[in-house]
Amino acid sequence: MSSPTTNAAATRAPRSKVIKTGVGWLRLPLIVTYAFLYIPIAVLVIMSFNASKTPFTWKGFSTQWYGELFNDELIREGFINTMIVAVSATIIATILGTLLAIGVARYFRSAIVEAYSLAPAIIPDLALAIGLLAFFALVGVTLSLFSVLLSHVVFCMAFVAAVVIARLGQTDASLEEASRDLGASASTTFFKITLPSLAPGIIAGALLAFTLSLDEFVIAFFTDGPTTPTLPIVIYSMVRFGVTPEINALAAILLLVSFTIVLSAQRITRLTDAV
Amino acid sequence: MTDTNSEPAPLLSIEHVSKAYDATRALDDVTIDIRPNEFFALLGPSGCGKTTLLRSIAGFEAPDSGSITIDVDGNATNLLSLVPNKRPVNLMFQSYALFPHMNVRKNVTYGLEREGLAKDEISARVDEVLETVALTDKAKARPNQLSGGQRQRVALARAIVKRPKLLLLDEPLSALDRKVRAEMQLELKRLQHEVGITFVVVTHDQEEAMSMADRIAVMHEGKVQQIADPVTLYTRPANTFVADFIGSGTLIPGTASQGSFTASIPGDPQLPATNPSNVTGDAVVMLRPEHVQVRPNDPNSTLVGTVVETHFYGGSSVTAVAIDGLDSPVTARHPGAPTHSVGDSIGLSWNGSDAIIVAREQQ
Repeated sequence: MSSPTTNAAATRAPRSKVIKTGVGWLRLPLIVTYAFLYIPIAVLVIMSFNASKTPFTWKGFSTQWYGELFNDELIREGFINTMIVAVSATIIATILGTLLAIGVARYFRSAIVEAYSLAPAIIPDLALAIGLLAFFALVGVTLSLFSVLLSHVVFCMAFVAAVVIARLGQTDASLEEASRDLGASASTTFFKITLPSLAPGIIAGALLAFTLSLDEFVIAFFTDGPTTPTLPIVIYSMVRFGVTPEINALAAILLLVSFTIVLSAQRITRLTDAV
Repeated sequence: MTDTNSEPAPLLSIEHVSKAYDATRALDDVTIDIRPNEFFALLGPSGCGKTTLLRSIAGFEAPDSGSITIDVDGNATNLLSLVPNKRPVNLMFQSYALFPHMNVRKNVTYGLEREGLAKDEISARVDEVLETVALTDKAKARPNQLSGGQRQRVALARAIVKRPKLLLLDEPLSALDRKVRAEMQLELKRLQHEVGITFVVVTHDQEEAMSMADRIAVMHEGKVQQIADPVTLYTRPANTFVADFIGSGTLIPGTASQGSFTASIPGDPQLPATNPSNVTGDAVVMLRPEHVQVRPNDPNSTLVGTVVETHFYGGSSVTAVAIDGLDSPVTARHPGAPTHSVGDSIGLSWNGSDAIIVAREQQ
């Protein structure tokens, strides 16, 4: 940066310390793929503010669909059912997933056990859904919101466990020994040292579980009873007769909720990385 | 050295402790007595079992056999029957293991809260210990906001605030950089005097052990090689491992007899060695660099060789001299700049009383 020719560049972009590599046009694929990712979502959000009832014409900005959403009986019921499932599944899956993670990482060091405990997060939803359905039939559980809840706990738990195991890998195992050494019993150590040092992972796992359960369709579709549809099932039955702006509005709200939660989960994990 | 009769009763008795992991013997019949108020070091290369022994005392490893007892107000208490949180000892971890979600004060308070003491007593003791380690102004800081030396002091404060009978320190200085380490060596020694707690330090750094400890147990392959004060270890090593491990110097193999030593090198020269401990048979003679004089063409010199390296350290110089028949050169340290250059033929001499004869173990 000392030669006179580069000084001009330095004044133009004084804070830029990134060395730009490659040629400008190589950034084109990035722009194109990014557009490919987000154009459908942008269309959805824009259309949810369209005053026209048909998706083919733009008749000006309106928030009426958001208003109508709340007057729709079916959607309200679906929303309540979904919230019941998502909140309870998150609570149960967070507790069980955390215990699973601690058990696997601290007391049962085995790669195979760890892999199998995380499998429900990876195996196809359809396989899990059919398996659960068969299981419920076998043990005689009537399909209802409760069976959806149990099913969601299964796969959410695996996601929570995955996040918490990652966190456990970063924490110093001698923290727990230090606590015992300073006179704390095993249970005091668990509540005062183990849990707080895992808190960021547990919170991130819980938020992840909540967003996953919120818009889960396949498993809910297979394991739900006929009288208690969750929101994704309600939406599915509505779009069979065409996409209404109402549904666009609903999807936009779900999108906003998921985005907020995922971003905050990321932020929580990053903030505590420094520790 | 104190003689056997006036020795105080030991605070901690480690007797015939053994521990094996699969095929390796981490601890092999270890017996050590640690006296009240002493600064004791367990010294050895990594994998010698010193950390396993420390963790056995703290309660995080269970020995296969043997006993560890501690004197609590005149009563010998079996440590091995107690869970870690009931043992009257504290361990300072190598990683310090400070609780990241608590500030300095909370970290230090944690151990006292577990004892169920009154709030004002806890508060007074924490204030006092933070003062002792000069961290009063950092009480509200989180561990990740502290420097390495400060973290080490928090870990120390957290352990000594419990007023343990015995404080175990696992490589307490290894996480610090060189300069801070030298300061903390003095600091640890000062603190030990001030708080009057018996310290047992594990270290692989012999200089660290020599400069801090009152007595040192040198360990190798799970066995105690020698227990002695630093000067005895340096001047009268019990075996070739200790002679080689402590300090620097050259080992020359040969045969010892009363008052003399014959080196097993071409010419079978007799080397000056008074042999006060009357070692006979297969042995080595140990030459410390500071005892060896280098002179060209000196008629008194017993060994003649060629200078292969010279190093200037500012105040002193080291000359390495290759001797026919020896694998490693003999080193000599002398004040001032190097007096000879590489390639010079040179004579070596030393006082017979400075040569250390050590019997060679039968393999």
